[in-house]
Amino acid sequence: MKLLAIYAGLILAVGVPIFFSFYVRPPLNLAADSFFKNVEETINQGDITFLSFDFGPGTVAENGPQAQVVLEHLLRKKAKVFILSFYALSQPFLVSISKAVEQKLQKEGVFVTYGQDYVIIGFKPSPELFLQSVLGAKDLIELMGRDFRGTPLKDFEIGQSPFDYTAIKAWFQFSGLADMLQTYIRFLETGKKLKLYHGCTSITVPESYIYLDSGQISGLLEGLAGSSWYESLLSKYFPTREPNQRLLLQFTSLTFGQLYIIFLIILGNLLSFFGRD
Amino acid sequence: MLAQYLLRFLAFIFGGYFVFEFFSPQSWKESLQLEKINPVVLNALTTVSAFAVGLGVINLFITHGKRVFGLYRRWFFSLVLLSSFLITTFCGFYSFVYIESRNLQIKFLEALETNSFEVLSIKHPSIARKIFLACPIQDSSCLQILKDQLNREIEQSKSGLVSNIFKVLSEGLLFPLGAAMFSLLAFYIASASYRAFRFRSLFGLVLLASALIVILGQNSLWLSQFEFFLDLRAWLLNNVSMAAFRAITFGALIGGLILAIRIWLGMEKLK
Repeated sequence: MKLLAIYAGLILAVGVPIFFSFYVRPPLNLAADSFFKNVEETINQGDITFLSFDFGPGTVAENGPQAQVVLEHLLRKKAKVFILSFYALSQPFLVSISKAVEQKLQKEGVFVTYGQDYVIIGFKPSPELFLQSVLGAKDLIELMGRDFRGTPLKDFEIGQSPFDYTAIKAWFQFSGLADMLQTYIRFLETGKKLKLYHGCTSITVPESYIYLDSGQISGLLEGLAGSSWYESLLSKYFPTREPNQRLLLQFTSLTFGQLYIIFLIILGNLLSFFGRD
Repeated sequence: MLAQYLLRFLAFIFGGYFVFEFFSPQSWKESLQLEKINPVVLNALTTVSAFAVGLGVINLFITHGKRVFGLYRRWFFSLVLLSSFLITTFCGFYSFVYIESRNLQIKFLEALETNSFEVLSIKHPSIARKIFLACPIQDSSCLQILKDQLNREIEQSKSGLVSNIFKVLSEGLLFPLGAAMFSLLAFYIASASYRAFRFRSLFGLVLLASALIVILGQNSLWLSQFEFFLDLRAWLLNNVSMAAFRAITFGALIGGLILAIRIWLGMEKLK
């Protein structure tokens, strides 16, 4: 009965903001703040960037909004974006997130074209072998070959001019898998040869901080809190932009869930202290 | 016994290669042309790891096949596992072969623009036969109709029965089940926070306080408006937590290194 009450309380805490559609303002997140400013200052029109969506249905709630806000930012800055993944279960998200961002921008009159501004490479097996080839390849367009539908990249405007890794301005990687981040760092010699930005889940935050401190990653988005702050910065820098209400609702729901957890911790300790449990 | 010695010998040779490759000076690498040998060794490793997948599949069938045919406890779950595996594999392969065979025909048709049919038919006789049966004279209008038809078939296959079965299994079952598994964690955490997160010692109190600061710093509460509070959270993550994680990582890596040396030198017992 007690367990049932705990579970019901959690559903209520998480569900109330979604049901009544109200959201709270995200607080300042120092890591996300520096991530945003780095992107804003270093990425310019026409710069080549790579986005890796290395997440599946398990962590899409945290990694999905991160990928969405960063992709939106890059497309607003008119960077050339190549989207790929080393995680087989991410294929539907590669398409759905990109389409959602494209539609959102088009509503606001920012026109983005597939094959010209961005392209989805799709799932690539064996990250070790692929990433190892990135630094050695003279033509990355040839290395990637085709987009997720099987169309040769050379048929798109974005794939017209060959380039090697030195042309990549930044690589953004979103994942809940700590091993995956280490694979990028190991094979891309990040911090030295390539700039890597990472979006992690709340669980892998402490582990990711090690690489932020060492300079092997240039920016870090901490779970939903990071993407929510990034979202509010996007609205600040692009005032005509419509806020992503779904993301803010998700963040509010998470906040209420966390407050409920804190309440449970305090309640459990108090009851234990007074010998009632 | 001989197999064991062979395995140890191979482990020593390949392990030694990577140690040598990593620690030897650049001049040695250049004179020995290691950059040419490296891809060959890496390809060999990839091939060996591909065998591991096959081994895993065989193991899966032996373990769960026994349960299904012997009607052991929970045999039904094993049946679901094996049938899902077989159906997904079949759908994947079928779609791949269907689309790829049509793509090859399209490429052949495109190559006809610059090459003669005879030259291409020597290189790709089976595709040439199919094209010849569809367009015996190979006039441009017939070839264009054939190309359009092949493109249409590819598009139709993406919404066909096999493709839909695959979608139901992956997007209809695997994805929601994966998300559901993770969402259950929230309930475990809620239950654990009430029942297990107790401070019974000073260290317990420190752990509890740190957790509360990190969680509260992430929320839109009045506490996170204070710069001191945000700095405290950042200090905890940047210094305390990171130092602990580095220590854990070092420990794990040293353990891994010791295990690797033991395997390399054949000190680890092989079964």
